[in-house]
Amino acid sequence: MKLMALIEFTFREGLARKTIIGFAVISTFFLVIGIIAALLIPTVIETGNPQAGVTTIDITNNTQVIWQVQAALTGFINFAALVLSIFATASILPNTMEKGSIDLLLSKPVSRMEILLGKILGSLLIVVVNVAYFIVGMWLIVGLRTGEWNPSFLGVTISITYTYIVLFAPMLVIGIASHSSALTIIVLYVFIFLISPILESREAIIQLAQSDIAKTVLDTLYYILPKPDALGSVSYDLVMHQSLDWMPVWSSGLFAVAMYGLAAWQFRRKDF
Amino acid sequence: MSIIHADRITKVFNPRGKGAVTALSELSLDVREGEIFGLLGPNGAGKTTFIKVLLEIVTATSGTAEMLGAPIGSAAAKARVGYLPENHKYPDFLTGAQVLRYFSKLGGLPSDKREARVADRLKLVGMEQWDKTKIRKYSKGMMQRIGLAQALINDPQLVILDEPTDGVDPLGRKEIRDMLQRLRDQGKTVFLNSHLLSEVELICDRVAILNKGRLIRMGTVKELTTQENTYRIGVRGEVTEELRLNWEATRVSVREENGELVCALPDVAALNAVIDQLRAAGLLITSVAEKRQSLEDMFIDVISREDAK
Repeated sequence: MKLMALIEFTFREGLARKTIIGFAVISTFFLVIGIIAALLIPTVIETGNPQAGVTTIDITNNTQVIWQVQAALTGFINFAALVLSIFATASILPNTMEKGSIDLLLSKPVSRMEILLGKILGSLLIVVVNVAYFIVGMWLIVGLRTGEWNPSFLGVTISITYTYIVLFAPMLVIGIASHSSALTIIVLYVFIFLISPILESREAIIQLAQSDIAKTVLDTLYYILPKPDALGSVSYDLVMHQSLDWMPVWSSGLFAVAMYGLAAWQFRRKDF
Repeated sequence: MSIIHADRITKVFNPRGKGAVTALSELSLDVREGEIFGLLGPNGAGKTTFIKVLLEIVTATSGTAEMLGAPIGSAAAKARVGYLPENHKYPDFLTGAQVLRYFSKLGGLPSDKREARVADRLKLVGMEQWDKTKIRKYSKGMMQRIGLAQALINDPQLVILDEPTDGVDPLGRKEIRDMLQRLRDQGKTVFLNSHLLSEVELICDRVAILNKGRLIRMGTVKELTTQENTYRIGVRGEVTEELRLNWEATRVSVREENGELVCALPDVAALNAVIDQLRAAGLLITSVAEKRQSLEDMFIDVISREDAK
């Protein structure tokens, strides 16, 4: 009951701070664009020219094309969902730890781990609800227009949520240490938009630098740190029914486990 | 029975750093069942830190403590404690009733008792008309009332209040004092941190004074405010010059204050000797009483002496 109360409260906090609504408004905006696009774009496309001969492609009979469209959407959703999710949930733990708030929580017969778990699950609920709303909406639009009901596209909800769970772990560590949602957001965005792409293209950098030290450093960082870009590629492969590269999944998972452990340790021993 | 038992509690913040701060130093005290206990001290004395140690909001560097017969920080102890922190911050997007519901859930109150308890506590603090109003619209006094209701929502055995009358108007303060006395009458124990010494004097059975993390005085209000071997003697008639010279010669300290004689004497026999001298000089004795300071005067006196050491 206490854990449920904490989860429910965290979700309500998200609603009250308009982050869930903002998230939903943006999702709805893109769903409306999706509906307009679905209505305007014909399902039968003619390619080529009259001299060379015209080829007619009926999208509804071409699952590969539909999957390609969904995979392209996945890349966009992956990016947008992570940016919005981090923004929407970064303040939850620092707000909880404010003087006058945390004292009240800790005075109740609730363990610190329950409080932390309640905040994690509440944040997760905010993200899952929003991501699922957008993915299921897009799946319905594509399905209704083309008749292709690709179940793997729904699985993107899981892969995006998983990426969020991985990134939420360092968010907790930074949030507990700094009490600052702004710093948490900045560090995560720098990682996603700068460090992670650099590490993804480390092979090219190593070739340019031609340095063993650079190779060792970049490879080590790549394998230790989470891989949001590579996890995005897993989502792509999922939609395209291709075999999945599990390395980014388990290595990012290991990083998250270590970070959640560190966050739990920090939170347990912290004086407020 | 001790409701709170603290044994040599020490808390040092940032112990390894250059800015190590000793907030509590070897603090031992007992709070008895069914009393209103006041913890006094200047700002930074360690009063709030002590409460936070009891609730494990901060961890003691050394020492042990028990609350309601269970180790501090245990769920068993916390389930029977109600706490109103200083500068509490309730979720401003909730209404008063929603705040109480949320904290009653965290306190483990069964759902079948919740609505009745919420309504009862709102009524107790005079906030039943504001139950559906968002907290963000509350005044400071209303926040304090809803905070009190929150502290009492789980029918606690021990109520810990940090500056409960902060921001409350005089009428509201009187209501809170009456409420705390009713709680004591019901057998509950109240642990109070307050700067308002006049209020503490009115309601506390015992008080402790902290300064720089150390316990410097503890006892009943009467014990602490009574000045040992100092008496007030009410007289009718003029004190003669002869008497004054006699007291001066025998080094008896007698001075006039607000129409009474204030005598600092070595013992009761000396008091009786002074009374005999007054009667022999033809003065009528109207009253004799031990001289007491106000709690505020005593507090200022004790802290000044401590700081001068």
